[in-house]
Amino acid sequence: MIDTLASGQLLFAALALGATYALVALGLNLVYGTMRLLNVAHGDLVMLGGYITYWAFALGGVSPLVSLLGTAVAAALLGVLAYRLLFRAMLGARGTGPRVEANSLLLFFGLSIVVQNLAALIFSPTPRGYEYLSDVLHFGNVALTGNRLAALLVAAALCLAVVLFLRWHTMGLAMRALMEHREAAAVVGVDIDRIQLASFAVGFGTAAVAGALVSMTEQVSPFMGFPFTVAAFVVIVMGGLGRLEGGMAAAFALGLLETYGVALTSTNWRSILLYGTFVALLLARPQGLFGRPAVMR
Amino acid sequence: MNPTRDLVVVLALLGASAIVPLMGGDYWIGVGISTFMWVALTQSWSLLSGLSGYVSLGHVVFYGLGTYIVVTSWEVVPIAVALALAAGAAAVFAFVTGMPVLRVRGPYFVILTFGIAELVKFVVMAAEAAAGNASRLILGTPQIETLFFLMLGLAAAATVLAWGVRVSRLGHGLRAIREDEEAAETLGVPVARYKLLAFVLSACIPGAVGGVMALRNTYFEPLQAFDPMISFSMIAMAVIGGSDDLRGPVVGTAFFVFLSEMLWANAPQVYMMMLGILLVLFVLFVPEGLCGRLFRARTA
Amino acid sequence: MSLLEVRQLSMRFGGVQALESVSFTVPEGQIVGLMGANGAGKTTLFSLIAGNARPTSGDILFENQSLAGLRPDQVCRRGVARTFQVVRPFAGLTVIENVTTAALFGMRRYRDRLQARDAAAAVLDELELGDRAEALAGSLTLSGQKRLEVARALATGARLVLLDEVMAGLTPVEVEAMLLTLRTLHHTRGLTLVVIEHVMRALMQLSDEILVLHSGRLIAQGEPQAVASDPEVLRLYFGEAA
Repeated sequence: MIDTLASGQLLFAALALGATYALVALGLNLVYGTMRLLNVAHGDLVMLGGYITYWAFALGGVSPLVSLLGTAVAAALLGVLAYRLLFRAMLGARGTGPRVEANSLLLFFGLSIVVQNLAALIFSPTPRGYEYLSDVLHFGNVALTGNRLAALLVAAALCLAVVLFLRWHTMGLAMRALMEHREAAAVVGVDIDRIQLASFAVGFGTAAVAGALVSMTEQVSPFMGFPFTVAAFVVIVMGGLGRLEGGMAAAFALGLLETYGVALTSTNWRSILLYGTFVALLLARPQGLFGRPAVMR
Repeated sequence: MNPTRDLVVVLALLGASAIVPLMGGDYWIGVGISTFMWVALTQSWSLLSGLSGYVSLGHVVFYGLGTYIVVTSWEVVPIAVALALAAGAAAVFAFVTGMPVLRVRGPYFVILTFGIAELVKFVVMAAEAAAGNASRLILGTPQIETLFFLMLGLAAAATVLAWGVRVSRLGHGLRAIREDEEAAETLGVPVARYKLLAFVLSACIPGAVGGVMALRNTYFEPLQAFDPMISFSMIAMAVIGGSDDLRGPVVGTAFFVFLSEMLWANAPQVYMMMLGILLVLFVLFVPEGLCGRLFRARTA
Repeated sequence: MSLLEVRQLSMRFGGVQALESVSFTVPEGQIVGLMGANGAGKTTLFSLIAGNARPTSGDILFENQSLAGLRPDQVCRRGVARTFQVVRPFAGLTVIENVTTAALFGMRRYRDRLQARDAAAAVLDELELGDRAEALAGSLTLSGQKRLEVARALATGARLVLLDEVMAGLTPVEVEAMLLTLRTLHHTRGLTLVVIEHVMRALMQLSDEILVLHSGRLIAQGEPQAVASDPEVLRLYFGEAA
């Protein structure tokens, strides 16, 4: 037991998981930060990304690392479509407020149900998997599979890319402005609509890429999305909204917690750990992501 | 709006359906049980979420707990006691979790309730696995006619409870909380106490309903008993029927039971998709639900 | 007797000293005006008295009993009501339902919903909202919503009413009407009022005494004429409309 715990292998698995969570959380963070909409269907984009990658490989023999780009673009386009059709109307018509936020949550949940069941209808509910880069590589004492390594590298690279984008690129700066202070951003000339659209696209794209990476090591199934949404949410609450670097740290913490927690107990406990952390966090911070504890003017 | 008149209408409908066992076969009795179940669940959900605006996405947890209690106490206690325990356990769980949970606002409350329901589901799964049960079977359950009338009673009880809350000060206070919680508190509404009360009241009947369904299904499996789709269906029926009206659950349920009878056997996914699409459409365009749209005549 | 006594009240949050050692008393039956620039701490003071927030230090006594640690609904039941600077009607309820809520839950706490509704209707008439009783609160004009805020506060049966800029955004005609209404209500109900206003003319006319806050401190206190010619006040507010 101790050797398993102390092994580099477990640590590596935890890092890979953490990197995936970081990527998923990034997209959700962006959408929530710019639009104050909790997309509970975010995890379903992971699922869709996984399925696209699976079919590309199973039918066309296309390597996941190659189909990544196509998956990301497809998802981003889906994000643009979703934004134009649904959410622009919703945001404009009602303004903001806790009631609207709760309603939008129901909306996303409804969409999630539709997407999941559509996937189950088309792809059938049975989980599917494929083998890719599953050869074991050795680095010193640590044995790891190529696909996990690839997942870790790609996820980390993409996270870094997004962080840099938000730091240096004009549009990225505008996104951060919108996240920090909505009204002020509008006043200084940020085109809110365009930025929100871009956030949606990036959010959808990164989630799908995460799905592509996950599909290399785990099976895909129509209902696999929700735990990813929950994990992303845990990461955001822990790391702080809009603070993407904090999110990275939180994501790795969650990866470690889950991986080592499961190793110490059993796989049955994976969900208990995840949802338990989720519930505990929300109860510890009842003011949510934005507010300060109740003191107001 | 006249809740008392609506109460009479719903009770009359329920009363009228008591002749079904005399006329129809087991199939129609089964449809009746399903209908009453959803009316009871949806009515209870609306009592909390419709009135106070605190949308619970995890209401299945009360149903599941009720099911679990009846299944585990089978042949240990009489059925009547088991059902009372089921309702009681749900109420206690609501009381204990309600206090911290209701301090969480808006969308966080919504996903927190979902998280709690899932957590309980996985804990029960782990507990059952540790005890060596993949699922449980119970034998010698009451006849379907008995279950029909039990469920009918629960639907009526849920409606009466919902009516009672709506016409009371509690109902008035909850509506104020829904509109603006801080302003309500400043005007003297004891918001924390009222929210908790509504939460507990909304849990009792789903607990009992879960208990009766344990008798109906004779089979317990955590994934089914705590299925989030049950929470989701409650919400969809409530929103579509109208969550601010005693007749809403009846309207919403009737439509969906009809739909599910047509689709469930062959295409459960299509049924769920329809539920999802309709929920989305109603949230966007008809948030007041069918009852709100058809019957409301507010001056603007 | 002094209905309200504020003792060394201080409030600090987020690195900002919103109020610093503010002390004053309000005798029963008086109208006290509260003025100061935006951010001076006026609304914070109201939030502390009404229980919407907790002070960092100091105490608030109402009828010689401390309000420390009480929740807003408890404070209301003691007999203190407030309005909000930005109106907060129950937009989805009708006007009369708004006021009935206050009547049901405030100090009087009618057992019977019908009694509460009747009391609410009476208050609505006093504020000339009677003909809009069945309208949705969200559909009222700003002037109407301001009146609704006052109506709700009154319907609680409170003896001390804190009015936060109830005239802001009103036309001069509406301001006159509101002034008249407030004076009448004060007279007929024997209310004690603390009024925050930026409309100087109205504040001067209405108040028996004026308190001036600046950056969280009470810098002047006294009769309107005295305060208006106080050099410190003039220095800080030179140019403010009178």
